[in-house]
Amino acid sequence: MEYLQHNLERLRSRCPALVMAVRESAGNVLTVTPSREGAPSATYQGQWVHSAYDPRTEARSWAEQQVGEWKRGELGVVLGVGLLYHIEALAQVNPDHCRLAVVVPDPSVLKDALGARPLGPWLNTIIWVMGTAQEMAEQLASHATPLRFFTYGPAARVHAEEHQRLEASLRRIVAAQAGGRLHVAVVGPIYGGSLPIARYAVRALGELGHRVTYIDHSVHHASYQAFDSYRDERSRLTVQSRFADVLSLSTMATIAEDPPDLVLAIAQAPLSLAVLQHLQKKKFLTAMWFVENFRHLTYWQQLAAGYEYWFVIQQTECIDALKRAGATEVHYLPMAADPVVHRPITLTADEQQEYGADVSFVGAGYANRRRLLPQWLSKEWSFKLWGNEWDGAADLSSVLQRNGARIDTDTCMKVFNATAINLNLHSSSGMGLDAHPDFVNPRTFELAACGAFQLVDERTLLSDLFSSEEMVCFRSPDEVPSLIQTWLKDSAGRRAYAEAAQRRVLREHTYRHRMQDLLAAVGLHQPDRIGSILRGERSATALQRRTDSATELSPLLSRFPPGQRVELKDLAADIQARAPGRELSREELLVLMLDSYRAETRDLL
Amino acid sequence: MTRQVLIINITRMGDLVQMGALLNRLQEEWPGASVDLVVDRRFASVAALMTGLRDVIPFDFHVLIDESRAAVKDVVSLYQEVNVWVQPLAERRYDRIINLTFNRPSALLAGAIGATDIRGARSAWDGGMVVDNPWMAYFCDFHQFRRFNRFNLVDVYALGGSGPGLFAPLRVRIPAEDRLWARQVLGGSSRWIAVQAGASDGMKAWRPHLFGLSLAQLSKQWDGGLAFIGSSDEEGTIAQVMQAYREAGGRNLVKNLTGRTTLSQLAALLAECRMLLTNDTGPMHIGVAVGTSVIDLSVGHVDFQETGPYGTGHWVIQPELDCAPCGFEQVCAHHACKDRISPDLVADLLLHMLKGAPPPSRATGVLLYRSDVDEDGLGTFRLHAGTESVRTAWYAGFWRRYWYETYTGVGSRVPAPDGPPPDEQQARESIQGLIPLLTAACRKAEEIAHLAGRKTINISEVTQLQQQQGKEKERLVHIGMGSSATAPVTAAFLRQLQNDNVKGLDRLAHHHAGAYRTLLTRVLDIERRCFGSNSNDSCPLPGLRPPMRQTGSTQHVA
Repeated sequence: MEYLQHNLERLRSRCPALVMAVRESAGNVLTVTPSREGAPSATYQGQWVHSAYDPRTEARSWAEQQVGEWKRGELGVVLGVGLLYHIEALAQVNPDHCRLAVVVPDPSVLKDALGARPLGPWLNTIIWVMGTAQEMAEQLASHATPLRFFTYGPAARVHAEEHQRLEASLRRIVAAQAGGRLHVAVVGPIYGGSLPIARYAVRALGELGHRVTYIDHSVHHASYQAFDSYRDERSRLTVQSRFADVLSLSTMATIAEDPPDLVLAIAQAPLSLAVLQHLQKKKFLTAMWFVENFRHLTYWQQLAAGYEYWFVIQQTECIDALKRAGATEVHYLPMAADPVVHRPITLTADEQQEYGADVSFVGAGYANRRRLLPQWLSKEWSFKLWGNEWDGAADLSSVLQRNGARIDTDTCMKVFNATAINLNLHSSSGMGLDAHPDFVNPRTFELAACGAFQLVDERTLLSDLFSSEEMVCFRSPDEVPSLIQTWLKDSAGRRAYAEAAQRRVLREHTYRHRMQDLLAAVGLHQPDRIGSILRGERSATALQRRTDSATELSPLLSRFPPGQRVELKDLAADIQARAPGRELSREELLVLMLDSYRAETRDLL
Repeated sequence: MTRQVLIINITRMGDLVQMGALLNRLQEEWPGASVDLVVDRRFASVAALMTGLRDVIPFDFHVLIDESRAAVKDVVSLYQEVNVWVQPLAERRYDRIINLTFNRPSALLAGAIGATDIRGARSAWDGGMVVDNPWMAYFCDFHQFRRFNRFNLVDVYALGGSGPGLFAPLRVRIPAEDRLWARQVLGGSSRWIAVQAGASDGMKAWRPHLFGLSLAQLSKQWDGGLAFIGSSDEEGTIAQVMQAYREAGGRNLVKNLTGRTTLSQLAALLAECRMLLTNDTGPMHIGVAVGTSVIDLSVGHVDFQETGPYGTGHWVIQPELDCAPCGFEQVCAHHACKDRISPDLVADLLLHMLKGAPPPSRATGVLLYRSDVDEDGLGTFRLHAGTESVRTAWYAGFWRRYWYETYTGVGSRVPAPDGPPPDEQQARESIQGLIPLLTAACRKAEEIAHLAGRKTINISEVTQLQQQQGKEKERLVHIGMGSSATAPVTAAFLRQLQNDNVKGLDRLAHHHAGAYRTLLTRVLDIERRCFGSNSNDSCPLPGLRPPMRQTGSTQHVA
């Protein structure tokens, strides 16, 4: 009690609201236990939050490891309260006296910390951030400086969910503020379901104003497919694997010619671990949007440590699995729709006739679909089945369209628009509904963007994306026939749901939103790099403000439009363009020298 | 007043050791001169072993490449980080900058630091790249006639960076504690040889299993120890060597010190060894610099004439193959040169050096050379076994003397090659075809210079003449480059044209006229040297016939 009073008294004049919140909180979140060395340590649910032996030394060691990345002018933000040893240590090694903020999701933990030991004057140098996730995000954003996050793991896990919500809120704020232009290289797969996703991502990034290099490996699909002709599977796999390695190298060659700020790979992009490690060594930032079910496609295990950022469509279990496999930054990023492609269309009478039905399903013939769809046929409604890999599904042959030919996106959109009720059944390796119904498939967003009504199997992550007024779900296959009967009779109801879902998609679930979110997440974690570019800090004007110790650069920068991003190559190109017949100054020679080094590529391949 | 010199030497470990003669020469030229060195951070520890340096300025150029290329830092940060060490160098106002890194970035760096005398690659006034100093220009161009080059880089650096002088062996310092360490590691015994089986570039590494076989063969007649050296990246290579060694019956004591030594420890270790068997690598030069005899296995794109072991007492084995040595940009699928060097030959040479056995007198598929110092005090290699092409040997000898005399102004004591060139007819035709073209070209160049020097310049007239000159230049370059008797001087002419670091049309025209005159003078000189006299005794242009100076029994051009 004594320590608590003493420490609160220290804080009272600067942080009265914090002091009040702490006084009113219950405390007792952490169990304070003496360490071997004598100083108090703590546990949470039986696990140590600080060292059981010497919490001060541990904290100092952690702080010294963190401080290398901390740049002047950045606000350091600590996640994890604990008993504040790590914060005290960070405050002491603080380079250039940068400001330090601590996120306090729950004042009870702070009460435990303040009551455990006497704390010094450093306590008053801390910016304490408290409130809901949105409130805390706004407080941090209001400082208008780059944020540098430090996570003290054992203490941060106490409020892991709150930290995630804080990050999501911050990403939205950062995304909304972002004005700077990045160069993103998007690496697509050779073929498959993620191929259109790559194209949507490319378009979205372009629409956001970024320069995009699309490394399109689908041009090699014919060659890749040709290797399927080998009878020996081992030969086929070996050749296809080597082919993928060559494509990996070709990606590197493309990057070497026009280095991007970020390399964004979409699931199944042919990028080998060796190439990813080389990119990392050469300081390129890499991200993967893994738009797959991590339980079914497991190649992420080999590549986990290869990408700096993973974006996944599933949550906790997937995120934890990736981190165990070596990934450092993993973030949830659900699927989306592209309003340019997935949109309401007006059909001719003939098209309505050809594509329309009371009930439709578009998709490949996975096992659970082969079993469940026949149960949803009825004489009471017309049913059309579209898609490929339905060979041998005798029960569905009467409704299978175009002999089970693969259908393209345009046809798919016509089917969606022409159909009264679109069935959206997530694929599963089992025979019924998915036993782990978490992620939401792209179809859900695409149907919604088309303004088409759908019945979708319930997913645990669906309720965060669509409300019950926007999406009709079924929990068991038995519910489907009665749902069909009900909704076939209620065209106004269908329309209301479809329009609500469409509004939601356009408001929150387009690929533009996803790309904005993705870049904001990377920007938050790289405040002096991607973050600074997004904040417009590499514009000519912003750079000119920083030339106090290199005033000779200012006239060179002033030649560019104020808001234009200016990098080394731009400055050098401008000097070169004006060089003929003119004697160059020393600073111009130095810029050209730097650019000569920048243009080096021999070490990349 | 103490002279200040800055050397820029960024790219290779070997280059640093190879500038030892230059450092000596600078002290001969300017006793007490302060010599600073800009070096890549990776090689700063090598620079620490060199004597004669005041300040070593290390910078991590690889991090600069990575950070600038991936835009990790913005342009202001990048500029500030580099300027923080460049600015003080500029303020020192060096008397001379010697750029031994022949690339554009280093040229711009030299230009940004600035000095009245910059030798090597430097930036022109408009940001282009020129190479000042004839020896440094020679270094840039000789790869076009690699087979004819007989100058070791050590001498090129010394001659270009300073001037002619006495031969001085390469030397590095060895700290006392490292000597002690090396003696302890080798058990106080001197019966060790060091083996460098790896290389930074796989192209220049002899086959690991052949290393193993040759060492196993050696071990049948010599019971000393084998100390493997190299970087930690070369562990795999050493494992292959040792496997082959053991399987072939090698039983001598082996120490694997790969990746386990600092550079100064490596130097100490090499100093304690009887000799070093090596690929053309940085440790080879360190071995030479600590006085350890070396066997250099010269494979891939390396040419021992350029980068072989400097001084006396070393041996070089060079595969005899049309494609050897290959170009630096070559991507070779077969590496056949490596199979030309037989383990038996290597073992025999090792035995010669260790036990005084007679050196191999015959060599199949390879040429065997012994290093030496020639009559001019430059490093050289004398053929011991094998047969060189007559044509190559003649022209190599010819150009060795020619460039030495032309660029130093001193007569060479190295004997001239016997008789006229082996391709006498072709040489004559080329020379006699060139002379009239060059004579006309000189006149045209003079005319252009005259017109450009007028107060009012008739631009269209000058442009027309320049266009004609351009076409004529193409023709004479084609002829000049087509003969071994004239190609090197033609290349030097093109370099001189490119080195037009002058401002103003008239100065440019005079510079070009000078280049044409120089080429004509040289071609006439070559004609006299090759055939004893000029075909046309009356000199085509007044003032072009250079005076002759007698040195010994042979006449030389002054």
